[in-house]
This record gives sequence, structure tokens and C-alpha cells, in this order.
Amino acid sequence: MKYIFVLLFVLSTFITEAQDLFTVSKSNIEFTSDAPLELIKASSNEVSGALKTIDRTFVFRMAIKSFEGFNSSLQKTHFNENYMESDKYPNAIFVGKIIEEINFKTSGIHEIRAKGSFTCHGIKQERIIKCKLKISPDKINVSSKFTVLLEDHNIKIPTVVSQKIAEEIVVFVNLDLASRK
Amino acid sequence: MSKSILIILSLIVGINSLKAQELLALLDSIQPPENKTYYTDATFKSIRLINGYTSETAAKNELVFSISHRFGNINQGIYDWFGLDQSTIRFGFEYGLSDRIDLGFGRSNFEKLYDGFVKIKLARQSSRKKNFPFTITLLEGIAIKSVRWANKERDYPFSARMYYIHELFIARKLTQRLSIQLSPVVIHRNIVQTKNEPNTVGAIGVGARFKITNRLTTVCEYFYPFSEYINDNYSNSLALGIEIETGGHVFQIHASNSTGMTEKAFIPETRGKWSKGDIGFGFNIIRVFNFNKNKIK
Repeated sequence: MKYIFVLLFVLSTFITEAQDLFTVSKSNIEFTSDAPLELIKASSNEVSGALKTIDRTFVFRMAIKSFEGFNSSLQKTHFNENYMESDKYPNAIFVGKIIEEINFKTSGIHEIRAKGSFTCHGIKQERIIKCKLKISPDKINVSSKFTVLLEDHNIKIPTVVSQKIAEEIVVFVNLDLASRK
Repeated sequence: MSKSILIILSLIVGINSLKAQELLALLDSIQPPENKTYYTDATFKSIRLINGYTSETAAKNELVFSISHRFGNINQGIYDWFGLDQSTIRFGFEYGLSDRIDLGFGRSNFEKLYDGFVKIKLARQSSRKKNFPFTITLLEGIAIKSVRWANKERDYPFSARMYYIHELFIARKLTQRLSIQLSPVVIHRNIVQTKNEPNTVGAIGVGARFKITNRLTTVCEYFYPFSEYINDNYSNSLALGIEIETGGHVFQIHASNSTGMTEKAFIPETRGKWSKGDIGFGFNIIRVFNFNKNKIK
């Protein structure tokens, strides 16, 4: 009995090996902290990731240190040193599955929900993030806007600067995925 | 039967967590993390350790303003309010021409000293693609003593007021919390107080910082002038302190046996001795002003 399960499991991994895979070819990720006294923006184009169309699973990862922008280089230093502790927690990772069963074979635009675990500052959160998928032959464009609560990821803001850093960070993502055959 | 249910359950649960692992492994195999050079940030909290500088420079278009105070010695007792009645002050400015070069200027009421310097980051500690273990910063400075000569009859040339400082800071951020710094320094004095003091003094400085929390740090700094250069009247400068960071400010509070705040003053001319209680409190308040034009309004 249990050999059947093991066999099924082994087989399933083989099956997933042979499917269509899309990987990030171009990326832009931006965040905004809109606090009463200060607006902070930073962006990066160093997102890597993959989407398996057969089971609609995906993984995206970015290096926190790659964020550029900010209002000053001191701010960037504080971002990495004091808030994100990016030497200790170098990446933000989102891994999961698309809820909607969509057809990746035909071109079109879909509003989908991506469900999975979002890890940032070492804290994992289960999230459902709404995204827009634009499917064209051999290419998928993903765009999304979502928020991250600092509290959810144990990022502490001292009261002196609480007027300068928003508690809720808005993140904009735009990714181009290309098919790998 | 119950055994097989258990296997099914564990498989279902297992698959989900396995999936994430598997996906990450897949990602690593097809898109490994980009091999970029990461330069080490924030080896020290600011451009100053205690009396001396650190390997950090002011970033491009940023002005670092520091106000430093050194009080008298605590062994002077209650009459002098443990040294707080006397104070030596220095105002300092440092402006970043680029992220690796800055210009500095300072004025201290200790001997009415003016000081000016340039700091250049020759190498930066980095990891990943380009690996380099240290940040190396060069400081080239001058100091001008503007206090009137005690003996007005004698005709000193202006050059007699000049001091030259050449210093190298070799720093390494060992861990997130611990950074160390070695600073060989050569100071040239055009005129010295007594005949048996040499004009050129060589010394080596050691400094370290240890972060207790992200915003609270302990620091220490010690300078060892090579013995042939200074006589028994002088001692080695030792300072211990803490740093508190609040957004744009860094507060440094410390105890030290040196009164001067320029290399010329505290490396070869420290007179206080820790063993005799010639310890003075002091603080530096450091504020960074940003003159970048791309600031979001």
C-alpha cells in the first residue's frame, strides 16, 4: 500500500519536471512609505523567480540590499542596518500557488489571486495577493500592488521617527516572465 | 490501516512544505542569486569614533556637522563640579564631494585651533563578486594654532603655527555588531615646546565598536605613540564611550584622558593619566544634513 504512495510521489515529481516553466526576465519592484512628515521611495530590478504553469506554483525572491533610491544614503544605511537587518535577512521571498485555474496557453488578461507564504525580515506570513496577469505567447507580465505592515514582520520603528516612516508600506511589482523550454 | 492513513496525511502535509523548498531549489538552479559586489555599509555609526575619526566618510552631498565638548578632569572634585565647569569645544563640518571623498573643517577653542582635512576612501570592504576584507581610508590634514604666542617679543614665522597629519584607517566590520579599526598616523609639528621633543611623531591607534542594540553602541579608542617620540610628561590617549543613534543624530558620550579633539592635540600631547583620575567626560553630537537634489518632496 505505502509503496504505491511512494511510487505516486516519485512519479509526480517526474511529471512536474517536464512542464512549462516561466522565469523572470525583467523586473521592477518599488516601495513607498508615505508618512505625515516624509515620503520615502526605493526600487530594485533584481527580482528572480519562476512560475510553473502546470500546477500554477511560483516562487519569487529579491535581495533587500538591492533597493536603491531613498532620500539620502544615510536613510539607505538605516534601512539595511536598523530596520530590515539585511545582512541577517538578505531576501524577501514569496512562494505559493495561483488560486484561479487559468489557461496559460491562450493570450489574455486575468485578475488572479496568488496564495502563499511571504517572508520578509525573517518573518513568514500567509498572504493572498491580487495580481494582474497578461499572457501572450511565451511571455507573461505580472503586475501587482500590495501592502506590507511593518508590524507583521517585526520591523520596529522608534517613536522619534514614527512620523517619518509609514506603518504600512505600499509595494508595486512589475515582472516580465519568459518561457524556458 | 491507521498506519497508511498516517502516511497519506504526512505525504499531503509534507508535499506542501516540500513544494516551497523544491521551488526555491529550482529557482537556485535556474536563476542563482545575482553575483554582485556588495559594499559593507555602516562599519561605524559616524565619521567620528571618539576623539579620532573612523574610516567612514560623509556621503555625496551630505554635510556632517559635529559639536564636541570635552570637560575638565573628574578628580578636580566638587569645586569644579567634577570638571564640568571647564569645557573645550570643537565645531566640525564634513562635506562629501563623492561617496568616497570628503572635505572637513573644524575650529576648536583648544589653542584656538583651526583644522582642515581631506578623507579619501581608498578601498571598501566588500563581499560576493569582489571580495575585499578592509575599508581603507586616508586622511591628510593640517591644523593651525591661532592662539597668541606667550612670548610676544619673539618673531615666529606663520609656519610655526602649522601641524600636518597623515593618517590611515584600516577598518573591518567583523560581524554585524563588532567592527575594529587600526590607524597608523604620522604627525609633523613645525615647532615643539621643548628641545628634546621630536617634530615628527609616529603612532598607532586601535578602535572598536560593539553594538548592543541597533541604536546603542559601545566604543573604545586607544593611541600608542612610539616611545622614542614622546617623553614622560605625556601619556597615551584612551577613551571609552557609548553611542546612541536617533534617526539623523548620533550622540556619543565618553570618558577620556585627552582634552584636545584634533590629532595634533590628543595623540602626542595627552597629559592626563587614567591612573591618577585625570579623566574627563565629553560628548559629540553628530547630525547629518542632506543636500541631495533628488529628494522626494
